[in-house]
Amino acid sequence: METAYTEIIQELEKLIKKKSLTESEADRVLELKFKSIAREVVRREK
Amino acid sequence: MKSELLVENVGGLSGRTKFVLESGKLNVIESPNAAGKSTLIKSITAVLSFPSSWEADLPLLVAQRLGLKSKSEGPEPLVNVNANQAVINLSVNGDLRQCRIIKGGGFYNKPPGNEMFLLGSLLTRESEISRKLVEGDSYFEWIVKQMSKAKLYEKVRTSIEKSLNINSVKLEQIAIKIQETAKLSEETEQLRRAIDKVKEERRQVEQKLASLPATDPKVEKAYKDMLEKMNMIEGRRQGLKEELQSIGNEFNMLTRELRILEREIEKRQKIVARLQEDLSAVADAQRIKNWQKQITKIDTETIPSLNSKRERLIGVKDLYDIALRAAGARPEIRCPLCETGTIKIGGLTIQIRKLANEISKIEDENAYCVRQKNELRARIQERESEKKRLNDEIREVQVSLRALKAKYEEEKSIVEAAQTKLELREKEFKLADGEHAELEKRLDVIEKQFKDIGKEEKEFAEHLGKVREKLQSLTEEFDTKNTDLTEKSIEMVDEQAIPLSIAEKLYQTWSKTLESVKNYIDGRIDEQKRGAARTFNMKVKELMKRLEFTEFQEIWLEEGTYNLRVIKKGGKSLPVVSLSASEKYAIATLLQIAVKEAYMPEIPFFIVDEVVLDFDQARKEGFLDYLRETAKERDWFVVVARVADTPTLTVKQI
Repeated sequence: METAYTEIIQELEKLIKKKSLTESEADRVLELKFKSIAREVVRREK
Repeated sequence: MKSELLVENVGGLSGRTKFVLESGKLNVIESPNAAGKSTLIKSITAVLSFPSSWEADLPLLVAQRLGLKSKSEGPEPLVNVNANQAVINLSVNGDLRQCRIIKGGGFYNKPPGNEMFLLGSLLTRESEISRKLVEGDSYFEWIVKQMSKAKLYEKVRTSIEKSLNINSVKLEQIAIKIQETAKLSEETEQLRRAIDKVKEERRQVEQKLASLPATDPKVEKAYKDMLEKMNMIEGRRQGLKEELQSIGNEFNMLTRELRILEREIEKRQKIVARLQEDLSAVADAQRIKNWQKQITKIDTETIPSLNSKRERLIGVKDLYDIALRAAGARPEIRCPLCETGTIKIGGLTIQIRKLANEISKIEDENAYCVRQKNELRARIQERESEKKRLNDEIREVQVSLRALKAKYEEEKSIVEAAQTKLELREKEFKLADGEHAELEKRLDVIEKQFKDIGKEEKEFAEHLGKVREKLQSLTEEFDTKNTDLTEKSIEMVDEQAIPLSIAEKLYQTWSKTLESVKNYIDGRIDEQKRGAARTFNMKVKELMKRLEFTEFQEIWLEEGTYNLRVIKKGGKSLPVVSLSASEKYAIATLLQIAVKEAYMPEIPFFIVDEVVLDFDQARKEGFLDYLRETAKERDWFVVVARVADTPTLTVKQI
């Protein structure tokens, strides 16, 4: 959880720095992070 | 800097009209009432503010309120009633901006403008600040929110809240599924126990039947052999059934993974294509060449020519200065240039002043050329670094694309092998199933033979038939419930099957992560707003001094509540609602300039329409002086509209 938290914040801060962040870009960051966590869970399950 | 504004069929101005604006000066738009002043103001505002697409946000509401944009899909208010479209061209320093507004709705603005221009660089009675103050509203949180990154952080917050809601719905659905599967699991367990009981009953009946003395030993042996074979096949069939189910699940999972990889590859290919498109736009060789040509021209022609003119004028001025000093009290002297004629001392002084003005003008022009050159160099540099960044990004995506393709090929061969295995097991199962059915038929025939033997055997055989029927029905019910249980025991997450308990834990962890990110974002929003309020208050304080707002002691936005606080001279705190109309407009002007100077100094346009009309003479003059000085200091295009008895709409520089 700690790693995911840090990575999400880094990714969002990077987008905000560009001053052009849209809500869908933020949605995308969260979606990608969730998917990568889910993949990791599946990998561990295997 | 000069700027050309060309408007075609905008508002009340039909046909094409061209105006020239100059930076460093006040550009005053004059005309009688309803002769197009506001149309010109709106034209400049539109071309500088219309973004590539509007978000439902404050700038859009302001654009609609100002009559720049229709409130729904429909006739756009800026288009002349007799035309189908309005065109606004604004060229600054050779760079052209074009805004095309279509009557039925829609617009194209190239390059896209900055929608914050509407909040930061435009001062009219309808501007957000003026409007709020006139309504007596003192809540100005939007200034610190819109003008700082708080606005962006709030978008992130909305997105997190959306994800949290989706997550909580998911968790509710999983909780229901867990309850359902627990019930199904209990039911299947009961069925399994019932099946085991019936199987035991069948075994006992079969044994009893087999133990009866047979009239035909051949039939008895065949029956026993068949029973043994039947048990063996049943075991094999059950094993194959389980194996088939497990291989099937694995095959489905692998196929899903393959599809995810396919989509990921497709997505990255699209990213590469988009980046390459961006790269070709950034690396516009012709444009960069033009900028380089402009730099060379400034270096080799403009600046040397200005320098030589300046040196020549300084030479003449030096001669005049010497002559003036040497003249003493004489009313006229010999001309220091031709040394034949005479020149009056009064005329000489005027000449010296004229020369000094010309020299200062040349120096200004020279400084402007240097600024322009540096700006062009910065633009080229910016393009080069953007080009490098895009190239790096393309390389990075291409590397990941190659890795994905290799992984795809690897997964594909695994899927193919799994498919072959699945097909093989399916064949084996069908074979075992057929063999089982065949044996059951044969057993039935032999059991019927027992019926002819005696009453006891007949009863046993009939009982066995019933037991088998019961077993068949229980097995069918068990299979149906078990399939249902298997389907409900998994949750599809990103097209991957995850056991319910793991999925529940995953969503719970995700919710906790999102909550932590939300807390961090809330902190950043607060930090940004407080920081923006401090910058804004400092600017207001500085401007109050410069614009001589002596009747007020302090005007500031209170941190945390973001209410505007006004303290009059003498220390009396006044609510905004109790200010007079002229005080409200004066404060609105002050706040608007503070917003412009604090947050949008890089956009060299500041537009003022009508508000100045509400000021008393001294304040009006003070304000116009400030605008003139700021235009000069910052090299801005300051545009002011005012009513005048001119025959037509004119723009003049003062």
